[in-house]
Amino acid sequence: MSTATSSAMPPEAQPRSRGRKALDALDERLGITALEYPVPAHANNLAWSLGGVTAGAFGILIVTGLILVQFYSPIPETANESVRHIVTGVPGGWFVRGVHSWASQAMYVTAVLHLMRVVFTGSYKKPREANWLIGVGMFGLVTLGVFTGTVLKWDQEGFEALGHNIEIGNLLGGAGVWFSPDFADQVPILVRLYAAHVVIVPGLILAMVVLHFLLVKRHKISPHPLLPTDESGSQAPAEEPTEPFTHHLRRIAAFGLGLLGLLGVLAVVLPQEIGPPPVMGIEITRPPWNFWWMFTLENWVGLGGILYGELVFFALLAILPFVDRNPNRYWRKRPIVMILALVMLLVLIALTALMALTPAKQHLGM
Amino acid sequence: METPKRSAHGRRIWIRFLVAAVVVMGGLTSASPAWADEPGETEVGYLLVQQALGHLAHDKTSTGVELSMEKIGDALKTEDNAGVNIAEVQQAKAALEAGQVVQGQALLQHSITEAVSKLAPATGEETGTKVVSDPLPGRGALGGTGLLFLAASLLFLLLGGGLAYRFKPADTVGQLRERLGTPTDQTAAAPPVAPSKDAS
Repeated sequence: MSTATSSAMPPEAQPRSRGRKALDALDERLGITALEYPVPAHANNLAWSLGGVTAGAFGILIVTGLILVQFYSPIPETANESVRHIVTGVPGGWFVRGVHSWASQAMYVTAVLHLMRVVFTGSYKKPREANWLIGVGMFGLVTLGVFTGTVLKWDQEGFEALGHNIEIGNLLGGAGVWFSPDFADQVPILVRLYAAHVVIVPGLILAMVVLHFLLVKRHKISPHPLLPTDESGSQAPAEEPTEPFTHHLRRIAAFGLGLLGLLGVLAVVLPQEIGPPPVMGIEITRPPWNFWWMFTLENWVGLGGILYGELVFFALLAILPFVDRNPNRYWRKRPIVMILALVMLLVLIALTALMALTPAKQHLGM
Repeated sequence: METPKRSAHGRRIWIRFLVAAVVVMGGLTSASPAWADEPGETEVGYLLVQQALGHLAHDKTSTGVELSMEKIGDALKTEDNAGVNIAEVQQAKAALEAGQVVQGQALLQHSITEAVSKLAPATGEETGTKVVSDPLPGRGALGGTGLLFLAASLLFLLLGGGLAYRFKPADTVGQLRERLGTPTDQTAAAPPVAPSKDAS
C-alpha cells in the first residue's frame, strides 16, 4: 500500500534512502550532476573515447609515478642503482615500474590514435582549431615525457638520448639554452630533467587537459561524418539520440580498467630491462621506438635531421586546420588531406622500420 | 551508389597517390646514408677503460669484445692514465684474448678503482658512473607475487572489457545512420551542403 502511495507521488516527494540522501548532499555541494549534460550517442564509441583512454593512461602514469619517486634517486652516481633497487629491493617495485613504463607507451599510442581519429573525421575543423592546437601541444609534451623518462633510467640508452638532446639544444643556439649543461653548471642535468619529468611536463599536460576538456564542453562533441549534422555543419543534429556525459565517463572508466589490466599483464610478461650505467664517449644503443623515425633521418643527414624532422612534423600538424578549409568531414570528400596524411603516416612507418634494420652509429661529439 | 564517373575519379586519385607514395618511399630508401666519421676520442685513461667495460656490458659476443679491445689498446697507449692500474688492464686484455669475458670485466673494473674513487660529484652532463654493471632484467623469476599480479591484471582486463561491452552505446553508427539518414554531402544526387573550398 505504501508502495502504491510512493509511486503516485512525484519523485522529489518520495522518501529517500540514506545513501541517496548522502549522494544528494554531496551533489548539492559539489555539483556532480552538472556532468550529466547530454552528449550525442556516437560519443560513446571507442574511436570517440580514445582521448579519454589517453587521459586514463595519464592517470595510471601519475599514480605509479608517485610510488616510483619515493624510491628513485635523481643523482647521477646513484640513479641507475636506485632503479635497480626498485626492481630487486622494493616489494612489488618491478611491477609498478613495469606498469609505469608500459603506461607511457600506452599514452603515446592512444594519443597518436586519437590524433589520427580527429584527422580522419575532420574534428579539427571550425570552430575546434584552437582545441586541435592544444591537442598537438599535448602530444609534444607526451613525447617529451617519454624522452625524459628514458633519460631518468640513467643507463647507456638514456644517456645517449640525453646527449642527442644536448647537441640539438646547441643547434638551436639561444633557444636551446635550457637543454645545455652550462645553463646551471653546478647542477647535474639529470636533476633538471627529473624536475621536468615529474613536475613541468605532467603539470603542463594537466593544465592543457583542463583547457582541452573545457573547449570540448564549449564546442560540444564533434559530429560523426557518417551522420547528418545540424544547420551549422559543426554539431550533431538535435535528432541524434543523446546520453548523459556521465555515461561517456563510465565507459572511459571501463576502458581505463581494461587498460590497467593490459598494462599489468605486459609488466609481468614483458618486463623492461635496465641497461648498464652510462659511459661517456660511446654510442651503442638505439633510442625507444617512438624516436626511431627521427634517428633514421639523423643517420642520413646528421643531428639536424632530428631537429628539422620534428619541426616539420609538428608544423604540419599545427597548420592543418588553417590550410584545410574544406567544410566536408567525410574522408572521401577530402582526398588531398587524406592522401597527405596517409603519405606522412607511411613515411613515418618506413623511417621507423629502417631504424630497426640499422645498427647504432656514432653521431655525438661530431 | 557510385556512378562510373565518380568511380573513375576515385581510381585516378588512388593511382596518383600510389605513384607519389612510391616516389617518396623510393627516394627515402635509396638515399645514401651520411656515414659518420670517426668520433673524437678521449685520452683519459679511466674513461677509456670504462668505454671498454661499456662495450662488454652491452655485448659479450666477439663483436663486443673486439670493440672493447680497441678501447683497451687506447687505454694502454694513453699518457693520461692517472688512477689506472695498467698491469690489471694488461691482465684483462689477456683474459679477453683467452675468451674469459667475465674475468676480463672484473679486472677492468678493478683497474680503475683508484681513479673513480677520486671523482668529484657529477655536475652538468657527467655520468657519475663508478661501476659499469651488466644489464638487469626487469624482474626476477616469476614467483607467487608475480603470479598474483598477473592474475589481478587479467581480472582487471576482463572486468574492464566486460564493463566496456556492457556500457556500449545502444545504437551502432550504422543503426543511427539508418534512423537519421545519410548526410546530404554523401548522397550522389544531392547538392553540396556548403560551397566546397577543398584544399584538395
